[in-house]
Amino acid sequence: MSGKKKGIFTPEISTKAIVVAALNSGIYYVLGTFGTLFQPIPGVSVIYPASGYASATGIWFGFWGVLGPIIGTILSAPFWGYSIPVAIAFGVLAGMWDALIPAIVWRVMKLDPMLRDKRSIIMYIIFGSIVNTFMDAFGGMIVSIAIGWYTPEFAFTVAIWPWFIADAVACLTLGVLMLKLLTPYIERSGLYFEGFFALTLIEEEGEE
Amino acid sequence: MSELYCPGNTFFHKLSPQTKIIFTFLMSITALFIQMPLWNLVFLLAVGIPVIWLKFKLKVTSAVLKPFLRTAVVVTCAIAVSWLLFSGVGKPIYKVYDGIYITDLSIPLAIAMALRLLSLLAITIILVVTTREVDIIAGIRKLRIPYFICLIFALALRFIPTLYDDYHTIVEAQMSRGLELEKGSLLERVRKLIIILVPWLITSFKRVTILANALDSRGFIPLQPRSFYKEPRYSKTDYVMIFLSFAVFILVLILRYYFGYLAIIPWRL
Repeated sequence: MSGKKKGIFTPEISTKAIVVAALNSGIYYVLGTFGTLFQPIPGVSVIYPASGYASATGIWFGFWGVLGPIIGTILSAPFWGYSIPVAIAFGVLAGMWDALIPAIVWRVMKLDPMLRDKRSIIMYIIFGSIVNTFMDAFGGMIVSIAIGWYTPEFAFTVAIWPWFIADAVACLTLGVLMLKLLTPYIERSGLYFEGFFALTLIEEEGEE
Repeated sequence: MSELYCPGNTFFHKLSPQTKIIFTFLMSITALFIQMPLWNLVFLLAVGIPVIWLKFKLKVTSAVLKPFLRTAVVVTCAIAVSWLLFSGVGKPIYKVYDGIYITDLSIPLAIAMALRLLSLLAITIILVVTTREVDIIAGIRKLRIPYFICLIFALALRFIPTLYDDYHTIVEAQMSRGLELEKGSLLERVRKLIIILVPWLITSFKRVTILANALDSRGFIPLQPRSFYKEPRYSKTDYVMIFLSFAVFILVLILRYYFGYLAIIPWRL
């Protein structure tokens, strides 16, 4: 093989993206355990810090930020005493929305990750704190109904609200602070992914 | 997860990890199709007896089972409230409040759902107590899950203890300067958490570049085909176990949807 470039480019996942996704999953797992800091009554958390982090990672890392809540939820299943298949359903149908909606909105509308303009702030309140966490809570209720934990009547009148409020408050407080304080570091260190999948093009080697 | 693994030489330890993953998924889905207390109890005994046997055989400590017991208690309470007061099916037998009744079907349904929850937990306990996390990852790779996903799982598991260590170091440093994390109003606690989170996250993000460079320097390309030093293999026992898992799953589906057994409310799981 001569090693000459063929001029054919194939999309490849960067190692940085994989490491970012793994780190996000680990951080989401650890932050999930911080919910106990915000429990006025044992078992009822008023802020779920992991949701605030997920919203920010969706904005910073796109698809690789979305994997954090999914894999973090699956990994934390034995810690919380959940069944693993149930945790996968919760991760994919509930936790994922926290990061996915802001990830898409920020890339489609080209918003500022540091929330420096009014448009970005309004969009963050709508899609980074309310719509995403509502979808998360709604997905969580669908899974809870499907596995028989809740009846639809109980899920959509009682159980959905604490879930939604704990996540939305986390996005509005911790999420905003993280975006404001950490975005400059993320951008400076080259970790901000502008594209959703952040694929790199690699030129194939071989005979010309 | 590694804290949950109990070394041993039992039947479950000898099964390949991918067989245990298939068993876990099929049995968990099967449990969702059973909705009658007696049958839920039969299913719970079938998956619960191995758990009790493993507990004594492997001397599983209560610390391992504690999160599962905690979830069992909390979710059973939620199930009781949800199904007793909000089932919406059956004839009312007791009025709790205006428009809220306990019905003749709500009690058996609540019992069935609680037993189902216990079955799901028992199935997961079998997997996590008898399988190392590295073997679970090797198992999901063998089930043709893309390698980069398996690598993310493996790296995340590797990161978790490091993240906890970093977090405790920063908390102790801040506490030595007078920070009291668990005191103050809600906003005060958020502010205190941010004092911890910012240095903790920056320390963690620094690891990304180091690890990514280390992987790149070894010529790692995520989507390239790979070969492995150690491949999990199927034995005859694995094939028998997979066959039995599928057989139970199909039997339950036939009993429920062809003969109309196993369900109090046929139109829902």
